[in-house]
Amino acid sequence: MNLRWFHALLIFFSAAVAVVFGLWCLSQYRQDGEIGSLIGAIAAFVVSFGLVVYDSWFLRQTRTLR
Amino acid sequence: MEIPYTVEARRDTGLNNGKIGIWLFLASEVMLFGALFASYILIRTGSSSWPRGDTILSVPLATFNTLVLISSSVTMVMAWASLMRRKLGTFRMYIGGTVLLGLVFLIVKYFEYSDKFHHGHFPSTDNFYAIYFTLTGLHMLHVAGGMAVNAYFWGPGAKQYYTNPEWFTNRVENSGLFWHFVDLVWIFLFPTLYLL
Repeated sequence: MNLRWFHALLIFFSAAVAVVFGLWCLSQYRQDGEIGSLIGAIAAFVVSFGLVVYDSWFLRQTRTLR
Repeated sequence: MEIPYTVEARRDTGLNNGKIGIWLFLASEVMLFGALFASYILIRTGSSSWPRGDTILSVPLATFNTLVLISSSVTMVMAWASLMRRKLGTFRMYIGGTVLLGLVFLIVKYFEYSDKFHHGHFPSTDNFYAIYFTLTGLHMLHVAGGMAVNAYFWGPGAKQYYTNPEWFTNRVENSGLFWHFVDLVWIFLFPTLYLL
């Protein structure tokens, strides 16, 4: 495995952690009802989606780097 | 006498010397952090009460640091890609950014640790803080080590680019693999210690 694939793997795990963080924010929102927690959850899901998009973009752009 | 397989791959393994070396090293690192994670799980499941990380640790600071490390992995891979395209100036910019982001991570951890010490929380306080300081402290040492190597490649180590650019590119890739491993450890540490 070269750095290109290791980077893609790291970004994939980062996207997964962003989802976990979003779920944690949602659980906080259910407990305290603070709007900040809801915004945090939405931001986390957006970041997760962005990371997945970046991951596929990165793999396409670096296809020649092996 | 010239050292063989610094650039070209060995026919039997398909890897050059540096790549084999870094993967063996990373395998030993997996065992080190794996043992610590296993200890954490055993201590936590065996404990009658265990504090939730989000009640005593700063989740916003840790979230910020997670974003910093993910960004640093992007700059690291861009540094390597720049060398692959033979652009030393761009490489220097990205590797410098990686070092700076590592520094930001350590500064944030300094404030986090200072706050804990200020409130009288030390590794000897309880099992939670013992495992928290051990895991995050060891991780910080790895970040500092990666920064030192990357700073060397940014500075004096870059001289090798003029004499053997392929070998230099391989060395930067190996440094990048280590840096990504350190980032990956944090990606597991963050939810384990701070959110659960």
